Amino acid sequence: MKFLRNQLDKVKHSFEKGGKLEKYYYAYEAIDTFLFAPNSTNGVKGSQIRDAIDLKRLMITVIVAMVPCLLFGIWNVGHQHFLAIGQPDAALGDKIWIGAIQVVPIIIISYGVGLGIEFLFATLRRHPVNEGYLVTGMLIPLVMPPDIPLWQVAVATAFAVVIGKEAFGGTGMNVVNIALTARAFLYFAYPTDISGSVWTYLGDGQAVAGYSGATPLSIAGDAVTSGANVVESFGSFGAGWNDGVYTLSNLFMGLRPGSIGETSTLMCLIGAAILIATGAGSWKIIVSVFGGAYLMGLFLNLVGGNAFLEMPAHYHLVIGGLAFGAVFMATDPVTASQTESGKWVYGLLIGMFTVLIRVFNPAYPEGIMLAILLMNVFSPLIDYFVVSANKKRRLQRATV
Amino acid sequence: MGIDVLKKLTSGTVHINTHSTSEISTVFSQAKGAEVNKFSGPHPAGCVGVQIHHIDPINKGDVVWTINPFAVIQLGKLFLNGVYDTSRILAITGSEVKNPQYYKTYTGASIKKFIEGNLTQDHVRVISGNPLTGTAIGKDGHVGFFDHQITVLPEGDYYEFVGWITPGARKVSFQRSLGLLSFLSPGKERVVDTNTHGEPRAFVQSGVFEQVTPMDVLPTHLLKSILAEDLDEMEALGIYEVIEEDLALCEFVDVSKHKVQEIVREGIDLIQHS
Repeated sequence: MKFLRNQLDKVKHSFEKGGKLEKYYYAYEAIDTFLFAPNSTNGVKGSQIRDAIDLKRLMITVIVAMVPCLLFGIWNVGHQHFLAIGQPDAALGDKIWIGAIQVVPIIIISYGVGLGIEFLFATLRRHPVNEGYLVTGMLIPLVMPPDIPLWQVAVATAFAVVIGKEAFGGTGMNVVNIALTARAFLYFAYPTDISGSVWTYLGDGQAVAGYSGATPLSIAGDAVTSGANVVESFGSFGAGWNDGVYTLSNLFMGLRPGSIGETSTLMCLIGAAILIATGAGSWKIIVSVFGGAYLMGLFLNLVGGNAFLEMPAHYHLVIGGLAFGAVFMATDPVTASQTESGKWVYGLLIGMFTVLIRVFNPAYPEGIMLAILLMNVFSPLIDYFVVSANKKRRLQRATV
Repeated sequence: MGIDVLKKLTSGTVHINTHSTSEISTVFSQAKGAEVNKFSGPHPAGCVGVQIHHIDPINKGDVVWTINPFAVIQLGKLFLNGVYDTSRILAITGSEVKNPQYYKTYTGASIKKFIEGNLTQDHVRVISGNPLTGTAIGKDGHVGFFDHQITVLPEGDYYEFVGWITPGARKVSFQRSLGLLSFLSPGKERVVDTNTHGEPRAFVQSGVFEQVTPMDVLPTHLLKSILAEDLDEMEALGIYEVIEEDLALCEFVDVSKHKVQEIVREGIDLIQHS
């Protein structure tokens, strides 16, 4: 360790002001502080001691919370692959292997492209390399379909980081969630590539007879015109090659096709428990997104009118990416509401809009993505009202 | 006597704020014409800014003077005996002091003789005041006018290999992020040093500021309005209600290592001299 420290100290001066490589100071700083927590001490006045937490630790905590979703996702990609090609008895190792060769390159591309741009902008714009991308870089693969072409991952990541973040001034200044920007970019730029059978990796295998790539959301959407009972359609789907793939318990466990990390509500809840226990994510937002979606589902049940509206409200919580969005996307501290009471409103509206978009706009089945992006844009407005209320209370008691 | 003097000095109410469970001296309980308020709870319940906020918040144009009991005694002695009593009790504290104890000394005394030969090691920071709001004064410094305590802590100017991820309960943390285990043994005594444990970053709204600010004030919004030098916004968000020490805990818990107290002082100076 001492040797490494000495090497860093030896080159440090050339990166500092007046040094030969002054331009690259922030790139150097990123590496130095990654290897060693800095030796900086607190100022002469003010707090002489500091909490042991720093942004790197906070971010790594969020990544750890995503690990259950990631590991399950890797296995599930393989699992769904073998079911779709008619080899349901494939070994666990084979499933993980197939999943890993699909998922790991996506992760590498996401981190490689994203961090590359981050370092580039940090050097050009002279700001520190922000740890926020450690989380974004993991979120992007988790919301990608397993069969996505890698170049699309690269293009989407580059778009999200440059247009979604750096154009606004870097981490902390972005208006909308960066990982969702990447996903939305693919969604609107390559609509044909991100629908149909993309949710299951088939590879060289031939799909079994009767195979269909329909997702629960598209089945529910179709029920609007056919009038078939949604729960019954879920129950009978996959007969012959993947029996009971869309039963309630299966949907909750996540044994279904979908984006890599989003399928399992259970794994998302484990992640939520980690985020809440460590204080890294706001429990208010997580609870209110689920609550908002459930309440809106119940309300639509009462209204009735078509098969999708009559789908039991709790199904909304386990289909699509609602759980993943509620736990990992809505809680992004940069784009969420910044006031404590605002977080309730923000979460509730995300949940409600998700269900509304799903039910009334069959053209965009993935409601959670659009709902979060929409509320990202409106969260400053929510904060504005909360802050105004605070100011008003103060103004009311003033006499001058 | 001191309290009687205070009543002469103001046309408003004199408030005596004490701890709710401690024994209240009859001097306070029998003081006439003064209102006694009781406070309890962890820091910053003892900060006058927080207490004023809960008794009668400061509005624009209000004037509130605060005085500590020690200074009230000084005032009383001045009026009774005609002497300005500069003696004070000084506590020498901190993990690096061999014999922590009280000393009787004078306002502005040199602390040299109290700590010479009284330290467990040499690489230390000597603070006039407490670790959250004090000022580093060096080994031959002097006691600050408002301070009754000297704290000696180990200096934290060391590098720590991958210090941002090493787990352990050695380092104190209000938060429970991965590997920060100090919350498991809350009663344990720990040595705290002056390392920043991280580098400055942009504000992250994780909700901890609100948890350590028992006031109807939005700390992040107030701090940002000060950084933007927006006087109207600062006023609307309650700059009159805070001083540095009220938000000292925000500075301690801050993930992004902002100098919160310095920012608050800048804001107060800005609005005072505008």
